[in-house]
Amino acid sequence: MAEPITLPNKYLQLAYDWLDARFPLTPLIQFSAKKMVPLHPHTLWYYMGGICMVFVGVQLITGILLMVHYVPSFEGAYQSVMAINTKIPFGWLIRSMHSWGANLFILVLLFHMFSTYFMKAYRAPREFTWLTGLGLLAVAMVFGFTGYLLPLDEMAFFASKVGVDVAGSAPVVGELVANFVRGGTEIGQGTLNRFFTIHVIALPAALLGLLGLHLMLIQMHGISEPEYFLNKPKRKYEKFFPDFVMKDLLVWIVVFLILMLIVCMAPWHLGPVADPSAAAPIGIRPEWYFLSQFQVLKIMPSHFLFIEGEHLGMAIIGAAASTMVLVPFVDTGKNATISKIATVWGVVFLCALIVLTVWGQLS
Amino acid sequence: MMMSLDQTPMVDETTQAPTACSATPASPCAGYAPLNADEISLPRRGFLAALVGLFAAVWAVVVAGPVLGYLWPKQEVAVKLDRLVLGKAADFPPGSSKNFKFGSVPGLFIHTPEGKLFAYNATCSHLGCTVQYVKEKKNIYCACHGGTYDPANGNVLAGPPPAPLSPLVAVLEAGDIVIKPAVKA
Repeated sequence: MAEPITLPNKYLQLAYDWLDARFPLTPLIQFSAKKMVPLHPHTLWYYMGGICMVFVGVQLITGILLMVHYVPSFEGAYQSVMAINTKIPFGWLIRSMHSWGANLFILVLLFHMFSTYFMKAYRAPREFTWLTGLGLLAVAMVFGFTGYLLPLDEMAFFASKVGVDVAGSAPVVGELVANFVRGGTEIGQGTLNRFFTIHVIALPAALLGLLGLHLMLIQMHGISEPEYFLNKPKRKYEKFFPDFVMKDLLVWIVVFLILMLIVCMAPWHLGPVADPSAAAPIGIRPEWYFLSQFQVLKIMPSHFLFIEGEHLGMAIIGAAASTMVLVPFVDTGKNATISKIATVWGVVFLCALIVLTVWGQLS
Repeated sequence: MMMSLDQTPMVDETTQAPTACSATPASPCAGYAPLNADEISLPRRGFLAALVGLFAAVWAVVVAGPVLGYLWPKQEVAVKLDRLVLGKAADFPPGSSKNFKFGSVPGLFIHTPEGKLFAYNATCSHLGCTVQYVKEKKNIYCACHGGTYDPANGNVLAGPPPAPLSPLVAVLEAGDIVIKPAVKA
């Protein structure tokens, strides 16, 4: 039985009791009061999840605002984004916040993922927390991919075309999948309809569902503590509420200010309108978070033994991604050698990601 | 005595097994072994569970059918052309090129600096991007993944494309550049 909360003011107490009887707040407050955050040199990384939440909020609000003026038609989309950028008061601000926010969201998600990886927080009983986190990263990347087409400028059109064609090159079902995603054999109104629906309805629903599950699992299992910290004879903790929450709020404000600074210093551009009959423009490349995969496909030879280069490239990308899914079930913490291999693999994975992304950007 | 669907003898919970059998489990009696009511009803429960599963699967198919049918893109009929007048030859001096649509497929016309006319299906054989002619390098280039082709025959010069470009035919007819499908050998 939860102990009652006492407030200094009589009317506040009345209001609290009324609410508490209908929506049990007391157990939640007492749960928060007991929740502790470990203090160690890597505590900084615990803030990443909260920063991701800031970007989720920014994306949802700016996304809803953009939908008020965006026209999802193949003829009207570009003009509507142009109007948002140039004619509608503060349209440029909302759009830039959305575009920059999306990129920073994925960047912080990657920080969050790799910090979790290297702290081995994926181990039992947190396997599902890790998997829902990977699911959220995948959802964020599909958000990026579907959202990139919507302004229908030249780069958006061709980057989407390349992306869907990559799916189309998969053996056996590739073309079927690509046609389904495109809504036809070419990028057109059908594609825009699908991408728009996925971007504004299906993905937000998936994101909120997965996020809810992710947060619930974190509450159920508590904050993960690194092995070296657990082995310490004396461990320091701080209260989640109010100590950590107050610091978290401060970080959120700083992050929001950084976003606003970037938005004001470098508003998101809009390229020339797409011409579907033109050749792919020189210098075409996807968003930075797809550059590593793009570069793998680019450096593949036309054939390797009896396999076509693009199939080999896709197999390499798929195998690398699967290691992230499988790691909690392989590195369970019971074998020191496997634990070291997992750490080294994480370093190799991260370095490959950075090198391929920079290479893709420069080449 | 009742019979279950898999013909296991069933007894009512109140039914007592013959005393001789239950008293001496080591020496089975002639009729049936004593079982408690829970064990006896399992086949029926299993059958019902399987039935629910079966109905759920049928429902899933019944729902998925119309949803997929609704979402599945309409079959587009490919537009095939026998000829296309691209424009006046005078508009395409040596070293020039033009991307165009030849029915449903993207095409690329090239008038080489040497004065020869070529045309190709401009779909890159790697991942389907539309290729272009680069005058300065005298090659056909795919900007997506860096594949290059020979303008004279469409063969791959460098990069990941696994096959040459499909040819079209470009001819000069009464002062016009005319594109035609390649004649299959």
